[in-house]
Amino acid sequence: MIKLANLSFGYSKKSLLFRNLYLDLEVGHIYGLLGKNGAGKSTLLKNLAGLVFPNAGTCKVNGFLASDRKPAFLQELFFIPEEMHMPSVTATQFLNNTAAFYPKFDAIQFHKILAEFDVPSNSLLNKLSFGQQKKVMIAFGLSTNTSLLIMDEPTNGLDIPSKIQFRKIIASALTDERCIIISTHQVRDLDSLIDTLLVLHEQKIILNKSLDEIGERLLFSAAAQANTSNILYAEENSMGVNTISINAQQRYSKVDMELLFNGLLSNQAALTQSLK
Amino acid sequence: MNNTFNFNRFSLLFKKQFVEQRSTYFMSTAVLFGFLTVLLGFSTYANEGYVAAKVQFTFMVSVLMFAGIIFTSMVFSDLGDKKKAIPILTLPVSHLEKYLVAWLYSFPIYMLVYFICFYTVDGLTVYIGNMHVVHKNEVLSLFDQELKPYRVLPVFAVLHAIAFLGAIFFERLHLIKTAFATLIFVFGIFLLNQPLIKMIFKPEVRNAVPFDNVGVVDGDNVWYIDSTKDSIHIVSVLLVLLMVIFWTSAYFKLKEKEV
Repeated sequence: MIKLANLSFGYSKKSLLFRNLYLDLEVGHIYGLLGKNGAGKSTLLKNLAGLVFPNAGTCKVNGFLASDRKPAFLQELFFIPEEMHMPSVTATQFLNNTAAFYPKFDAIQFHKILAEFDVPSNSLLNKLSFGQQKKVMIAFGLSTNTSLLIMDEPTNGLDIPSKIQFRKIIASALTDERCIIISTHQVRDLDSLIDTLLVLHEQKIILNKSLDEIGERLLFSAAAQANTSNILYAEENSMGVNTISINAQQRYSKVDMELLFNGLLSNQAALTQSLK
Repeated sequence: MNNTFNFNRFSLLFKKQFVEQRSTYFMSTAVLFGFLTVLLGFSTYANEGYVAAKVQFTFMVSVLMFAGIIFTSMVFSDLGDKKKAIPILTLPVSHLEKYLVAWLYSFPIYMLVYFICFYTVDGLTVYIGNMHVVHKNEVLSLFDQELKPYRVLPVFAVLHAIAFLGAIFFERLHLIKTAFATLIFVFGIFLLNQPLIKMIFKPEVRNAVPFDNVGVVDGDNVWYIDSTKDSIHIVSVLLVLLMVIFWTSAYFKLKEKEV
């Protein structure tokens, strides 16, 4: 569905954010995009949405060049940016003015999600709090039923109960015809939500693996339960030492995304080699 | 699916633009109405009820240009703000549809609203003024044979094209930056004119005004050669070409817009 081929991009030609990037993403998945501050997560998402144009290479979504921003491409894409401007209309008026641009829009679903988020549909959007504005856009984005939904830091501004609801709603919105990409620096917000992890680091995608595959190959455990001869990364915390080791005995462990992310930044070669 | 123009998409965008911007449009119209009322009303009051056609013409032209340039300069201002630009650029409409909606609101619709405001205020001013004067005032006709007010319309079209391109070309301070760029352009024409004229004519020339006349030096005398009346058509064609180039450039600039 999404094909990046040899893509290079930088806001100035001298300092590139991505160099010769290749990436294939498919429908039926929720991708979590992780990276350090300034790694270019938002910029990568903007490339996918056709909001910035590559310096070299191509970015194709559903066969369309993203940079052409053709209506046929845009009606299958909804982008929720980290910060947004809301017009001075109510959620219902926004629905009436904007939903018609998306052929698969489901108004019932929109009102249902708004109700679940407890956001009033008759208040002016620009008067709502940042968190509530975000909820309206998440509800709208999900209800467009576009084949690609991109969310940049969607949980920023959401309170704890809303984050739980967010995870529930997103998980229920995934279908076989849909690809959802979520970028965040709050790794824990993606727990039990994403099925594939993308890590962007030093101009490259250094990881593009499903959590199942990661769990098959790596063991996430406390130091005592680790495969001590094959520890790839260890991190001390107040509870003890958490480790990532090679899962030679095919034991089950829950993928600790934060630990994996930190491990990738400090011992990238060994971890990526083990995941190949 | 037509990815260049679809009338249904275009009309949806036209409606969306109106609904989301209507408070700004209504307030701007009220300010325009008030401004014209103050100018025409005060002038008529100060002249004890008389408002000459030339006065009406001066206000009509100056406010049309002034307000029109300000309004057009702001028509793409949202694209200079990342938060506002993203929903605009990702809305499933074509570049042409986005361009046409901005063009329609800033040019024909603006002119229509402007002339409705102007003639309402002018009509009222003349009506009230006529209650107190012996020689009755008349509402200025757009087709007045002496002043020919209709001739300002193509001039406004050229200014609109400049402001329209400036609005999409610059990210901030659209009006100031467009005015500055225009000033440099005009200054450049004046600066280039003299050496070009000297290159074209054999006798010594001076005081050449671009597209108008040239002074030929003959001893202590300077003889001015004026352009013919018909030469205005050359300038008009050049301006029309410039207008088309600016409007077209604005389209391509919109197409290439990034955030």
